[in-house]
Amino acid sequence: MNRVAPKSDYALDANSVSGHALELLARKVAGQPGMLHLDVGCGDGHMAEPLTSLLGLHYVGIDRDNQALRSLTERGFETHGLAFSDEGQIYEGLRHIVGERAVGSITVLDTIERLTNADALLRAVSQLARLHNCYVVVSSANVAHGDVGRKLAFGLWDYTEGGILDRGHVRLFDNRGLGTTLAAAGLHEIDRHDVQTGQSEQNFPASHPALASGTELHALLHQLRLGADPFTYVSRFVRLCVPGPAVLATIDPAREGEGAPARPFLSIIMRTQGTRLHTFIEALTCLSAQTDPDFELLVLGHKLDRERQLDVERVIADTADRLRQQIRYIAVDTGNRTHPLNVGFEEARGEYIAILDDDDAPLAHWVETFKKLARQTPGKVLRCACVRQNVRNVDIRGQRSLRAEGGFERYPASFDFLAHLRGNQSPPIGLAFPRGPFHSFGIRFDESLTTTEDWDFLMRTAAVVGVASAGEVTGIYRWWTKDESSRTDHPQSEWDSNYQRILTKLDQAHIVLPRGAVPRIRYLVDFCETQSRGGGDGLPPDVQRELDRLRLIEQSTSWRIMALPRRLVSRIRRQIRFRVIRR
Amino acid sequence: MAEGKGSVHHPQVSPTAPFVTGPVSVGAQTVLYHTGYDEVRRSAASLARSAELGMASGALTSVAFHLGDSSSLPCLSDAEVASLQEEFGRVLKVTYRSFGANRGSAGGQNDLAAINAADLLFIQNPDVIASPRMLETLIEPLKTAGVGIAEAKQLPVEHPKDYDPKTGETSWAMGACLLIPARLFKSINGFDADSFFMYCDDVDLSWRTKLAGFKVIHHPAAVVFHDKRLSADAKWMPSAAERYYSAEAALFMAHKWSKAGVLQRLLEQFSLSPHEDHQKAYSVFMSRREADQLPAPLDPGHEVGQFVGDMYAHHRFALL
Repeated sequence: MNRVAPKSDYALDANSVSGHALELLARKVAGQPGMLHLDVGCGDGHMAEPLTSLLGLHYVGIDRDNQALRSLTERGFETHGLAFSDEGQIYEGLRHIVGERAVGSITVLDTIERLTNADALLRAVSQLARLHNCYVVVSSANVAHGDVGRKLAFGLWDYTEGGILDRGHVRLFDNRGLGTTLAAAGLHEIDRHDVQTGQSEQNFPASHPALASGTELHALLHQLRLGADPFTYVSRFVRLCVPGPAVLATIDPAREGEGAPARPFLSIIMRTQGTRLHTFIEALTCLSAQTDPDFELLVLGHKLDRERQLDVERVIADTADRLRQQIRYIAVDTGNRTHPLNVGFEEARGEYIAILDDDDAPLAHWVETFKKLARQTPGKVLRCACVRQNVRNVDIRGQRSLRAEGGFERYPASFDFLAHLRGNQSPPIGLAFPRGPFHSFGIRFDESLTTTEDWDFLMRTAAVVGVASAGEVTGIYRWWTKDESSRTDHPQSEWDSNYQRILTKLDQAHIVLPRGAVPRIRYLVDFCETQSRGGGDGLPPDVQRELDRLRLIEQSTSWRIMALPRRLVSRIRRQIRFRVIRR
Repeated sequence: MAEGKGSVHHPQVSPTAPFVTGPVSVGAQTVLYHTGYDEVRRSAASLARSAELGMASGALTSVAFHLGDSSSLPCLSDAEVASLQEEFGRVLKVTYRSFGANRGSAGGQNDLAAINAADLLFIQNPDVIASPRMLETLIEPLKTAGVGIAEAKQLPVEHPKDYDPKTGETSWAMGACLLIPARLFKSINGFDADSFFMYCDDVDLSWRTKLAGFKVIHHPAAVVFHDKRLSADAKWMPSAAERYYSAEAALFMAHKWSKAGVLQRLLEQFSLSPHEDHQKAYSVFMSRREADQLPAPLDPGHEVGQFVGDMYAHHRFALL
């Protein structure tokens, strides 16, 4: 074959789709001179020269646009025109092009978003790849790039010449959509090398508050998007696949939609170490008495040895049929005490997810009250009032049981976001979390925390979706006075360290304050100033700066989104006594 | 003074021998009062499971569930009763009878005890949910000589009356969930329905059990759920009926258990009280006294009865 030397025009940009595709192939494809590389939808064939020189493959450009092939032909490469019609026609066309030769790899780059029948093309490519047992690289634009999302959130949708929203695109892919499309065609991703673009061609108008990188709004949206998935900067997906059986798209449990299975209202996550079966039995008995049975119970056995696991399973097996059918036992053998929460939330099918400790005592209307609250304020964290009661173990007639030792101490009836910035006033039994923040925003329990992980999770979730409170008491939170609990399992220094780390995380986060927070802030500022005047010395300069800043925030139109004034909060914290829930 | 039901007869049972020495039959019994089918079904389902496990373990020979209806009209239809019998009949014999009148808890339980042929009577409220191994666990104390009543622990709101943390011995057992041998129940003439319509009948039964030489044991390893709610400020929420009948019962308890000083104090308080409940309780008691229809006083030496303030036991904590 006559070849012309690669022109500088066709030197590969390392950060281009072709460059990334070539690198993916170079990671996997051993040099087998003479084998074919099919570039389906090749266009100008940017990768022809570097691929040939790097991998030694015989490049074959295939496109439905004969005009586009002319350049490749002129550069001495084998080219074929092929109409991308139905699967059978495409497959037969490809087989005819290949003939008796062996195919080493195939690329389908920036093509499928331009076709109405991309599925047929991918299935045909997959079929051929299976025949030759070769790799396939597929790329497409990422319509869920952060720039596109931030614009669309405010009603902007701009097609451009080229880029993510190229005027020629007839089909749009996000990461999940591409994955299911490939799988349905029998192409299974084994590696990826996506093209990242911090500021895409969609980053206009530059003055838009959601796009300008210095705004609070941009920072908040960016923070949330980063948590949701790792593709906010990805402009092009570039995926290396191997052929295999077609996997029909299944319903992603994290997403709603047609065909999605009906969810229970509530998933209850119960961690157990199997060390206090008597309280576990009590908790299950309370659940068996719920007036609303619309829940599932996930029992997370954490690091249980064989004997303890059997004990726990025996208690579950003892329950009456109806409850037993609602229970799933999940063994978790790794991680600290926070890890099972992430496992449980991941597995949860419910619209809402609650944490119930294996020594908690929910009242009969615990589920029912959460559901009523959810119907009134969908999507918020649900919070019911609860009480604390001192308990200890007693052994009577050889059987261990729980003994209440004190009356009820009530936690605050409603959720106060500002008060919670200082410490937790909401035991898990009083809370139910909407599944969205965990499953859609990627808000996870911080497994580097060994205590107060629930407070950290609550605050990060509440800062996004808010909290709806019901004043009804629906749960009893047992407080151990003599026996072991998480409160006594960890030294004070560990509690303090975790506490400080949570404060630091809160201080660095962008937070949506609930309606009604401004008067409270105003009061606190007034309070501090009054205290300061009483002392006669004025506030230290750093506190004064924070106060001034607070005042500015309060006066601004964007007051509801703010980075927390850490030093001020710390100062206020020292002035007001508080109680922190520790288990 | 009349010597009616509830006074102590010479027991035909002895505290020197345990009531349970092998597998036994249990007859649960409960008095319905405008109780919904779903509530009854949930209770029956939990009892059936407890029965199933108890029989599988060899502790129980059979379990029955006797429903007595004090509602003005039957609260369960024939079809609902049949449904219960069909669903749970494999492990639980379910019977239902309508009293045709409000017999109160004490009267209703006595009526049910008369048809309950089991070795042990499980006296329960209709909204009680048994934990799976409640029955076989609650039997344990009755394997010890001298124990006459075993009481289960209630969830989620544990009763504050004190009990010995090593033996479980307590002042009295709640009629919401107590187990008593049928022979003992009959020997002390069951509940004193003439004096107590629906409140303190259980305290009185417990104290007469003690007077007969038996202990009352709280066994917290046996748990039941009893649907109790707390007010928004985390306080106990007694029903209107509980408020009235507790006042009436307080007078009868003080009289019957020979606490003349307590009775006098209560009569003075109630006679001057602006509360209708107190005034009505005072009137009922005084008219019974004038008609010489009060029970004969018991325990003149105060060896059994405990009057601690307005309570019938020392309490570990206050449920306000």
